[in-house]
Amino acid sequence: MPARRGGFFILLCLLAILLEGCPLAWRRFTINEVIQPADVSFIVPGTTTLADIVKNLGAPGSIRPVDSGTVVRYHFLDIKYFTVNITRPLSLFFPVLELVPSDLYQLTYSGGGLGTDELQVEFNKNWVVVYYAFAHHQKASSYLP
Amino acid sequence: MIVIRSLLLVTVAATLLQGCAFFRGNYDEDFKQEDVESIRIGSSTTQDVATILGAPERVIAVHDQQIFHYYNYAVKSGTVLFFSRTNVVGNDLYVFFSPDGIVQQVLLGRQKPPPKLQFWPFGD
Repeated sequence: MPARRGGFFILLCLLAILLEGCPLAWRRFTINEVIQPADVSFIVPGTTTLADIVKNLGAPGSIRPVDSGTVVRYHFLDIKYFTVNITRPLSLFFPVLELVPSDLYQLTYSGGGLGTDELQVEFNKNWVVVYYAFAHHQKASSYLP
Repeated sequence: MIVIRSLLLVTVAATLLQGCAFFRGNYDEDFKQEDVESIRIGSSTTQDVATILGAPERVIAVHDQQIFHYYNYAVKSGTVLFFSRTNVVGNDLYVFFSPDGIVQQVLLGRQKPPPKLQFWPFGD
């Protein structure tokens, strides 16, 4: 049993050495939390004002004037990225590769996606809601190319 | 045997933990409630607001109104082995002025909770 445990530790060490320098990586970057449709069920076009929305959702990420009034936006962003360098461990088995510039033989496979989500609300010139809508692109965010 | 096992354990831990990193940072300070409350709707001027909150990050012109936009961001990031996750949360403050430069409205509302410190990039 102790021999098996020792073998496990050695295997773990070897794995860690093979993966050294992160030839394999899953990375994720998010900005703000998603606003769900249930969170905006209180908005009634023609009645709800900017102050009502800010009270419930906080201040928007941007305010932009348009001819008929103003558009405010709440932003959410989710980026997922995956990369693997499948040739990196080769130099452990063929040390001669250390002499060759890595650009000549290394093969990196990577992919990812950027998903945005946004709540957009348009107000008239009296700061009353004209319409609101979500822009859903969340599924664009994935670790696959 | 115990010494060897401890050394092995330390070696494994040291090997596995290499490349691990955690950091947190922020862009600008959080908004102070007392600063926001000291802005008087109907009497404070653009100069008063600039004195209390400093120069705005952006000035937006919406029709005949001027809006001062202040924002701050907090970042937390964790990397363990080959997993990495970075979370950013921003908070915004808007001060609306009438055409003659008097505060009409201050928009701060609910402050978003600080970002979570995570390294696991899967799930929500």
